[in-house]
This record gives sequence, C-alpha cells and structure tokens, in this order.
Amino acid sequence: MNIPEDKEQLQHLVIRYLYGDLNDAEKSQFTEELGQNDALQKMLEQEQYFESALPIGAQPSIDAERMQGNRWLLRQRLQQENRGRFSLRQWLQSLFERPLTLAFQTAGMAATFVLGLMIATPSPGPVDQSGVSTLASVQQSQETSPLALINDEDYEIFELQVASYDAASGDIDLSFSLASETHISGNIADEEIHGLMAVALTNDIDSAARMETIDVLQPVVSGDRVYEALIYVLTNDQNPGVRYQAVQSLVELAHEDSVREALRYALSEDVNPGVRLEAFQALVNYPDEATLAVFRQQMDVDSNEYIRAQARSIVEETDNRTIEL
Amino acid sequence: MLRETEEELVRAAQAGNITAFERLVRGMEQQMLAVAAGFAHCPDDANDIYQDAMLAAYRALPNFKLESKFSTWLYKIVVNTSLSNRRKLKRAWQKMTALQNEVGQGEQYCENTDTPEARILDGELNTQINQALAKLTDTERIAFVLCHQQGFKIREAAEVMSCSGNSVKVLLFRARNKLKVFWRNITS
Repeated sequence: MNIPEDKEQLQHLVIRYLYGDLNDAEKSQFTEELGQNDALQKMLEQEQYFESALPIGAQPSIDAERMQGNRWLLRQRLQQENRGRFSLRQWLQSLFERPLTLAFQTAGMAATFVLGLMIATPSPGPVDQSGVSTLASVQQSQETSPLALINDEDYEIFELQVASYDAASGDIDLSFSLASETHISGNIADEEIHGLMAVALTNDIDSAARMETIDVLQPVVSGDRVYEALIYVLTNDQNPGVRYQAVQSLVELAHEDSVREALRYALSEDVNPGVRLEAFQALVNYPDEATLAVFRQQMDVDSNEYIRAQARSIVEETDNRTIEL
Repeated sequence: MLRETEEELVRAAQAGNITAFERLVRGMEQQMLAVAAGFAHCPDDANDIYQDAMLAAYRALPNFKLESKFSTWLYKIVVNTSLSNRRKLKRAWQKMTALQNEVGQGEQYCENTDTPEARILDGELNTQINQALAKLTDTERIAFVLCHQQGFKIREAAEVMSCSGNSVKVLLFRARNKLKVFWRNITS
C-alpha cells in the first residue's frame, strides 16, 4: 500500500481505515506510518475530531415501546396481507377450520338465492323438484344460522337492481342487499345466543359493542366458540381496551393449551402494558417450557419494570431448582 | 430445544407463515428500524418506512433465493423503501425538514436523562445532528447510515447499495466533508 501525498487521497485512506476497509497488513502499515507521517497523523486527528460529535456506531435510539408498537402493527398488516391473498387451497382449509362461518356463509348465500327466486317467480304455482330441494337445504342450514333468528318484518331490502327484464315473457334478473335488525330474548347460557355473540366478536362490530359483548359472555367463557372468539380478539383486535377485556376473560382458562399460547403471544407481542401484565399474571401459575422461554425473553426486553423483575425472579428460581435437582 | 434454521424459516415464510417471517426478522428489527430512522426526518416517518419495507419484504419473499444472506437482502429492501419514500414525498419532506428544525421532533441520537441541563444539551445536539444529516444527498446518506451508524464495512455497504466499494468510499468522503463543515459552523 502506498501512502499518498495528495490531501484528498490521504483522507480517502483514513476513511478506508476508519470504516474497516484495510486488510491486516495494510492496517499495520497504516499504524506504523502514523508515527512518522505528520500529514497522516493530522488527517486522522481531524477525522477523529468529527467523530467526537457523532461517533461511529451512534445511531438513532429505538426504545422497546416503539419496537413493540411496530411489531404489533406489522403483524396486523401481514395478517391483512394474507387475507388479501387468494389461494383456493388455503381458502378451503380455512373454511374447514371455521365450520360455523362456513355454515353462516352458505346459509346466507342460499337464503339470498331463494329469496331472489321467490321474487322472480311470477305465480305461486307448483314448485318443481329442484326448487323444493334447494328450499329444504336452506331450511336445514338456517337451523344453525343467525338468519333463522330473523323475523319476516325485521329485514329491509336495499340496493335492489334490475339487471335485465324481458317485458314479453316477464322474466327478470335482480340483485339486492339485505339488512336486518333483530331483537332476541333468551338466556346467555343458550348456545345459540352465546354462539351468535361469539361470532359477532370476530366480525366488524364497533369497539364499544365488542367490549360489552365480552363482558356479557363472561359467565359462559368456557364455551368452545366463546373462548375461541376471545383468543381471536386477544391476538387480533386493534383496540387495546377490547384486548384488555379479552385477556381478563381468558385468565380463568389459562389451564387450556390454546389459551396459554394466546397469552404467551400477548405477553411477548402486545404493545399495551396492561394487556401484557394480565397475560403475565395468568401465565405465572403455569410455568411450562414454552412459557418460561417467553419469560426469559421478557425479563430483558419488556418495557414494564414489574414484568421484567417478576419474570427474572421466576426464571432464576426455576433455574436454581433445576441445578439443585 | 432445537432452533429453526434460517433456511427453514425462510421456506415457511415463503409459504405465507407470518410467525416464521416474524422470527426471521426478530433479531434484525432493531437495526432495520434504526436504518429507516437514519433516513427519515422524524420517528413517525421512520416507523412508516420500516412497516412498508417489512411488508415489501414479505411480499417479495417468494422470489428470495437462498443463495444470498437474508440480512443483506432485507437491508437492501429497507434502503430501497427509504429511497422511494423520500423521492415520493420530496416536497413534503423538505417542508417537514424546515418544520423539524423549528420544533426539534427528530430522532434521538443521545439520551442523557441525568439532569435537566444535560437533557437540554442533548436535545440541542440531537437537533443539530438531524439538521446536519438533512444536508446529505440520498446516496451520501445511505453510505453514511450504513457505514457510520450501522458499522458496515465499505464492501458490505457496497453490496447492499449494489455499487462498487470505491463509490461508497467517495460517498462517505463527501458526506463526512459536508458534515464537518456544518459541524464547524455550529461550533464556531
């Protein structure tokens, strides 16, 4: 390596030295030259003076809260992205994973179809074989569908559009949307009612209604549909208040594997310290291997001092016990 | 417990597994966000760049060949997203920089919270650093953020920037000279 005399070239050399671009031989030659070459020495001092203000490695500080906020938001966006990707295989798989939704969707589609058929039929003449079987299948589906709970006077038809109409034959092709508001009286223990409310939790109802729904579902939280819906809310809901209420409801079910998995996710990923704290306290009584792994992680990174300290104490206690054994 | 290899995680993430993708980026998210913050004018922008970059990476993951390092590939995406955001919003960014200088809502480079005096001094220093960085061109800033802030070697930065080591060296030379002039003016 030649040591240049030109000032600019000399600065280039110093930059290469500072940013690790010299190999070992070049580096030792550079260090040797420093003792003899005043210009090089001066240049290095000038560059180092600049670094007293902004040293190499000084980067914007990113605190844990900001990191967790980004993590949380990213998960929401990735989930949204996955929902947007259409794959027939995944779609079919997800339908089989959510039989209730499948039933509702099928019943909804079938009911719309049948209603359209009824409007399009000019007179109530004899129904052909195919019409009967369609109606029968709808009635069967409606037994497990919210549509079964809707009375005749409780719905409104809107956005009705005539796609085509043949004046000579009277044939018509229609499309319309259906809106309904239904009042149901019953008991929260009724599976039909709490099942409906659980499904509503995962749909697009407003935050206040979701909070109220979770509150009402508290006595039947161990119902399969209910706790599955609460897990969904805990891991997906945008509203921290709703997630907080979901985690509070799930605390008593922490003995269930799927609930603990959701609680661990909330503890490591939720941006809200209140949600994390509830999840942590629920998990304390079930320190299995997966939970301890999350505690081990949180004892260093959690922004909440209490969680950090408690997680550390549990991990250390477990480690000591293992050593003693 | 067995740890999944990067390759296994990449394959799972390529198939649409969000958790695998999160695990892949988990160890790098702090650096990636710091890179975005090095380019952005305020923390909110840095967060937006980071989010867009991660989403772009997730979308582009099926095309990722396991021949290159995942971290280098991810850095490239963060750098390109930062650049495209800057170009898209150039005017808005310029306005924002002016505003930024007035209100000092930039990234924090030093956080001394020992005494109120130290906090004020550090606040001023942070504002000055942000103002100084705003003087750099896009490519100068990339080279500076990667080598100076992230500790990349010149050849590593060249790989991320898809250019020669010599180009990176020239960019660093220009960036440092601009920053030195700015620094001298402030201190004098």
